[in-house]
Amino acid sequence: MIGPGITIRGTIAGDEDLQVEGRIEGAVQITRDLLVAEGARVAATVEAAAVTVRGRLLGDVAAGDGVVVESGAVLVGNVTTSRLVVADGAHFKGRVQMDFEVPGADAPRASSTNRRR
Amino acid sequence: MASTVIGSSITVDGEITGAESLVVQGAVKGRIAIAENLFVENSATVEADIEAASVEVGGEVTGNVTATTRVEIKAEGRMVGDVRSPRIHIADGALFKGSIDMDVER
Amino acid sequence: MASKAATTIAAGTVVAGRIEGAEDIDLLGRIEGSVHLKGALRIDEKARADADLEVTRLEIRGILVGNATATDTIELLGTARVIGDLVAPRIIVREGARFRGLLDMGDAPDEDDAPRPAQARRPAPTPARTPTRPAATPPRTAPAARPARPATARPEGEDAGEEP
Repeated sequence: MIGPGITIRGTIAGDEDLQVEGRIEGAVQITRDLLVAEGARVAATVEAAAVTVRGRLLGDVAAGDGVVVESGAVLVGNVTTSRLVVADGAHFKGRVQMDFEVPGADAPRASSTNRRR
Repeated sequence: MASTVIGSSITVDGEITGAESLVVQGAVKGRIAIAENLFVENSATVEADIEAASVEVGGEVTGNVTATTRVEIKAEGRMVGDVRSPRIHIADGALFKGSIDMDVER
Repeated sequence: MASKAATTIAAGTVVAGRIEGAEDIDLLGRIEGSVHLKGALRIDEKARADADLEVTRLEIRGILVGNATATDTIELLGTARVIGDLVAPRIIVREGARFRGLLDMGDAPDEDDAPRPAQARRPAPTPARTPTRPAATPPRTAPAARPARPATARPEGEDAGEEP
């Protein structure tokens, strides 16, 4: 847990859930879940299992278990995940990549790595 | 089954095809090919070749019409085009310009 | 989904081409091409649009392959399957929706402002501020006063796995 008065510049890695209430600049690489609490400011690339944003997260996110952006939160960055929730009142800007098929989809401008014949 | 309805503020430039009946209140330009019945209402403008089971014209149709059951041009209807249909009814007051071919199997 | 709009494209109907209008459309069938609508387009769970959309509001429960811009809101409900770029001042993605593409609500509100969820309605990006770096703040003196929380940050290269 990174308290509200703490600023960390660098990489945070580990095998535990991480709750950020302060500021991070750099990278987060954890095998469990990240919570960016309300008031927190994270400017970092993030790899985690699941990511929940209540504060502000600027950076690309890879979260295999899912990403939730709650109302009032901000996520600016590209997201690769299996599951995404953007609440009413959240702010989101970025590319989203989720692995799923749509029959006969010929994605006009979005990149489509899974093209089914 | 439910109908497709093209409302009065809608214009379609293209083709409408399908299994259901079609009610046109707006504008369609292109082609209509449906399995069921076409209703061109008073506010509608259709510039298209039409294939349908039946066609009822209460608005404006420009194009050739092929119907498998019947065509009706109502008193408010205006049609320019050729009609192929086993039955046709043109109401008093309707405007029609084109040919009629009823030599179609009923 | 109860159909409330005057314009409905029934489940077995395909409209291919350009659709324009100033009323809501309920899509239960298929659209191919483009839609320019002053109104709401609702894509039903079994429906599909392979089209570029410019609408006021967009509610997706089915399949969209194409780019969409809304002046008001885009909402992806749980059964939505969308591939394409979505641009609107307000975008909601519900649990279960599947999406691939750009999701653009414009540049983030300035950090110093309180988040303004219902107010950011400008589709055009705000000028100047780059949102990628938090505003510089004076260094805080707190860190040393928290003995109960071991610092989890460390120089790159080491692994620690401390509890947060």
